[in-house]
Amino acid sequence: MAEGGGEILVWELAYKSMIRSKHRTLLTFGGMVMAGVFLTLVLTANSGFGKVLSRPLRELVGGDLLIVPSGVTYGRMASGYPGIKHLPGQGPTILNYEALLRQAGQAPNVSLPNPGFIMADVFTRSGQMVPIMARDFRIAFDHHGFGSRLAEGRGFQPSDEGELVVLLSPRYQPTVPVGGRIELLFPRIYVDDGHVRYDYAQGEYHFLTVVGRYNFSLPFPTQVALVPFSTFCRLTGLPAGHSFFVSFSIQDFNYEAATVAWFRERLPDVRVFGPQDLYRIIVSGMQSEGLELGTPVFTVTFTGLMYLVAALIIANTMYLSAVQRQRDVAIMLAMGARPGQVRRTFLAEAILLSLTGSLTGYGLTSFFIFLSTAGRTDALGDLGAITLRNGAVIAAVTVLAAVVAGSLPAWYASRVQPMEVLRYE
Amino acid sequence: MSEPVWALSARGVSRWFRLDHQKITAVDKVSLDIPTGTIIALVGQSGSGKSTLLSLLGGLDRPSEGQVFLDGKLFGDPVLVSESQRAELRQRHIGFVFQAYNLISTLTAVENVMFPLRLAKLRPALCREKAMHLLGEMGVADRAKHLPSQLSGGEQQRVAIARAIVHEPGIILADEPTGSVDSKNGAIIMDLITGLCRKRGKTVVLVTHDPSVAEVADRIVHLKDGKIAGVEA
Repeated sequence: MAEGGGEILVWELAYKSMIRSKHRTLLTFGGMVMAGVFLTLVLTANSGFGKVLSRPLRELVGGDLLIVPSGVTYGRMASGYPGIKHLPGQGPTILNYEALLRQAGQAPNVSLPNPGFIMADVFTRSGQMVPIMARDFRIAFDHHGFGSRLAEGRGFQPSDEGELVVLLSPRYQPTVPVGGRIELLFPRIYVDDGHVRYDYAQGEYHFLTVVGRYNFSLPFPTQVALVPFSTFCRLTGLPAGHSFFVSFSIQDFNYEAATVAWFRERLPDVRVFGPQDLYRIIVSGMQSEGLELGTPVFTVTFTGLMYLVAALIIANTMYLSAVQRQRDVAIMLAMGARPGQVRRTFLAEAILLSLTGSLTGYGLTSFFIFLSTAGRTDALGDLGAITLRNGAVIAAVTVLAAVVAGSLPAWYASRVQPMEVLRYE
Repeated sequence: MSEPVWALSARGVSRWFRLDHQKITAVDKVSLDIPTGTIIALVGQSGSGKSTLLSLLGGLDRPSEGQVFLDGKLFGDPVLVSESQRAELRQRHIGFVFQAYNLISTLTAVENVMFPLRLAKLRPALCREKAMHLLGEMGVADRAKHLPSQLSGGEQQRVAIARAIVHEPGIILADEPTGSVDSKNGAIIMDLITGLCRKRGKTVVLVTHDPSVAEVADRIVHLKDGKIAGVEA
């Protein structure tokens, strides 16, 4: 005889208990819907702020823009940090990816031209990343990232050609003199079977010329920082040769400020921009659109409290359920159910109850956000960033809350002594 | 000649409880052998320990001392048998019928009958087929989709009997099975229990204080103050 899984029975019992105890279910469901609504609002606003933040620079640069906050690790970035657009598993991130796809799709086997400009830094061995901005090309040094090539010492060839960059890497400066050249490898990009492919073997080399070296102590000695000189000038409209962009991984704002000050002191004729300056450009852009960058602390705290209350509702509901259903549990145990099955049934019910509630909240909220922001091209439209990813986050948070809140009642339920309960009925 | 294998066997079984630092003995050193295929009635006054003994025989409770054997296998022991082991043996070998019916309130009649089969991990479709067949035999097939709260006492008890035998256990333990129904329904229920069990060769242990119910038994065990006061054939 074919076997039906014991776990299916557990979920089935949980489901039946949920739908046949309507009053209890509805009350808990209501609480979870509210929690889902608030978490959806916070997550949507968070994603929306990412888009709003990037708007002024998007307009400045044209096309998509990548903003990587200082100190964001590659792992975190690959997992989809809000506001970051990236190509999974391909190392450095591309910008204007849609344009790239369009170009590649229209002309298969086309090799993309060399970059128009770079204002970028690279991954370091510690996994730290510095802000990247680029346009119309994919930065692809090699499969291992630029850091490893530097470490092997193969990437530098003196040359008079190439763009001007400034190398801010004490560790590697001895190998690259001022006037030296840094070699970058760009892959041939083509479309094969509907997928965009990157062929490094047939790639194209590009050379950057180091025009400056600045020796200062970076938080991580293996860090590499390159600043294409002309590109930032082009971007900002500042005269070439008189501007400088300090771009490196900073986790300590005081240190960052000190470094920027250090540059300003030594380069009095140069306008020095740091990551905080970039941030201010973004904020001023937001303000010009009538938006304020509010602190998320209130909303996050409020949502956290909502979830705490929701978890307490679940715990209370499941505890009452465990008390009310002592006889049912005793019967199940008498029939031969294991205490573990009883525990899992209660946990499954807690998960089902909260998941349906919070996802309903997510669905309703997303629908109303969609209705109120659809068709808008202004910053408010950006704010309505509904993503399935947010739904997944809500589901995960809810399951966690349900498991935490339901564990004690589930354990309590499984401790029922069938003989004692059934004897006194 | 080899030792006979009893369906159930109690060896010096006692069960006591502590209440306000006072030791209350519910079952006191009871030894009892129950042959396969017989119907045994445990009778006695309220508080004589018959329901506690039934729980010990059915593995719902752990003896304070002594041992219980099921088909010759150790089933009840103060320390040697875990709750999981007892649960597994209960699920395979024992069916329970209670005075208060004790159907699972959130499951329909047919789902209640299917429950022991689902625990045995049979296919749901097969479980349903078997359950419906038995509900038909019990004359309550038309109430299959009703919740326990929508059934009368007699109907609930018939569903409970179907649930007790659906997984074909060798032993049926019934605690005052007619205690909550009227005499007409009581007679029907006893006919069902004895008829089904005789037809299928089950061992039945009944707890009752009703002499007319005890009459159907092959042996009547009288309990008094937790001890066996007498056995009549």
